[in-house]
Amino acid sequence: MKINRQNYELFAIDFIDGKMNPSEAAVFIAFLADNPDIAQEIELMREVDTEVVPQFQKQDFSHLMKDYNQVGINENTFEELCIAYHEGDLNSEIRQRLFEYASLRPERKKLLEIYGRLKIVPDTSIVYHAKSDLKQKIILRPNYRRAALIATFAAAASLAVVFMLRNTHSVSNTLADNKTTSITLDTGNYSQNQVTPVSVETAAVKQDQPVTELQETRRKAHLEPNDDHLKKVTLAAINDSSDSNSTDIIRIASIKPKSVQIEESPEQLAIVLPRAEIKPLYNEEEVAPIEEIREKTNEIVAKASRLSVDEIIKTGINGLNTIAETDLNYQSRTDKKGRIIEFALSSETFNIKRKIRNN
Amino acid sequence: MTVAEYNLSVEQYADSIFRFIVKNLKDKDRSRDVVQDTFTKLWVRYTEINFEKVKSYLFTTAYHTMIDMLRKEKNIEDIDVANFLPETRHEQYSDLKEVLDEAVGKLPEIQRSVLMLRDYEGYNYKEIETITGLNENQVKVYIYRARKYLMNYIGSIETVI
Repeated sequence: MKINRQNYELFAIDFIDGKMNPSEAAVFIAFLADNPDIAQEIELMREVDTEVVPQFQKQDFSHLMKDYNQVGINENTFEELCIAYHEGDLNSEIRQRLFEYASLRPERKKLLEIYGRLKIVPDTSIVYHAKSDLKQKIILRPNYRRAALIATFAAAASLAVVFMLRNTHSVSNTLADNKTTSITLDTGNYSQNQVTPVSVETAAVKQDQPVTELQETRRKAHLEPNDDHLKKVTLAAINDSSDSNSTDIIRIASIKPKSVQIEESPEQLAIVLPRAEIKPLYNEEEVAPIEEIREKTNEIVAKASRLSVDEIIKTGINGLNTIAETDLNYQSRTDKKGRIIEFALSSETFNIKRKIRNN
Repeated sequence: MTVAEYNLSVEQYADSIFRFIVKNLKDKDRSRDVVQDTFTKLWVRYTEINFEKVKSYLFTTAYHTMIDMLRKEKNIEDIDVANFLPETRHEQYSDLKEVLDEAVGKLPEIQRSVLMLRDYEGYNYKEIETITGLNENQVKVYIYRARKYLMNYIGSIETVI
């Protein structure tokens, strides 16, 4: 076993930890004897196990430790002080004194400068190329149950909305033969340009009469400023010759007259609305039979959760409001069995109230 | 730390650790093994380690892995004893960095490691103590000794352009 000043550190660790056998320790001790500075260094590192190396008693070398701030500046100490200077181990006073000492001696000044240039810099051309092999993949573990419930609720809510809208078909919003229908303006004082949502009360119109959606561009109407009575007015929708599918089931999705023209008559006021197009919300062909919707809804409910239909609808509508930023407001009354007996679905643009008969 | 933070630590420190080990082992293949081993050990314990301290953990692990490797492979005949003797170069060098790199390569392993932790990564004595397991005074002694060796290796002032 050859120990030298190049490799002694590898043996020093075993020596300090007491892992060397006596013959190896003897070789190492002999090396230390020939290199007292390294011997001091080893002593500083660890407490020596005296059982392994009885000749090498623990000694106190603390007096050998230098406080460079206490060391006088001379030719013997100058180099070490240069190192301490650049390692930041000197206080400002000693730094200044060292600098002044070096300034008076050009060769010492150069030595101080060169020690400042002995800092090694990393070779940035050396890079580890296979970083991707070291990385770990982030595995998303979706909560399948939760995801399934959310999807189910959203689907149930959508079906429920379709179901309810489908159910309101009996309250026809189509036009009368004379292309008029009756509406009730349940509002108080009117003023021109007041935007008033209306609820459609009656219907006696032909299904094949295309109904056009209100346009906001035509302003004709005015209302009596002192009208504070509930007035029954007649909506006269002007047929538009625009394309409309006569087989479509029409729903007035939005009636928002900015202005209306009121033609007073002894019995009623006729409100002539500007031409409008009402876009069908859905085609009858696309709407499944009510029973099928009910069955699917029940099936979804049974599979997904123990929540009632009412709760599912509420959850779904809340979800739709969140996802699609709609402002649907759903309210309901249920019987003792949790079945919906009355509901109201409204938004800023429509309001539907219905009672449901449960068999 | 999270998995994302673990991957970030790979991105941030793999190069510097590799560079540190390569300069010590002078063997890129073995150095890659050390780097892989280091990050494997980090991955095993990544949930226990704070991301703010991951650099210190990585260098500590890499350093000890390297030392273990050297101790297992220590083959006295392979060490160029002559390289230890502090040489005084009389040739002129136009690149001080080149000279310093050459000199650092001839330092004893632990001195070289300590010096690189000091200069490459900017660790102070206390931090190097934590990484290497040496005590602070020993760290200081090694650094001072390494600086002196570098100065002697450079030789006389005139050899440095």
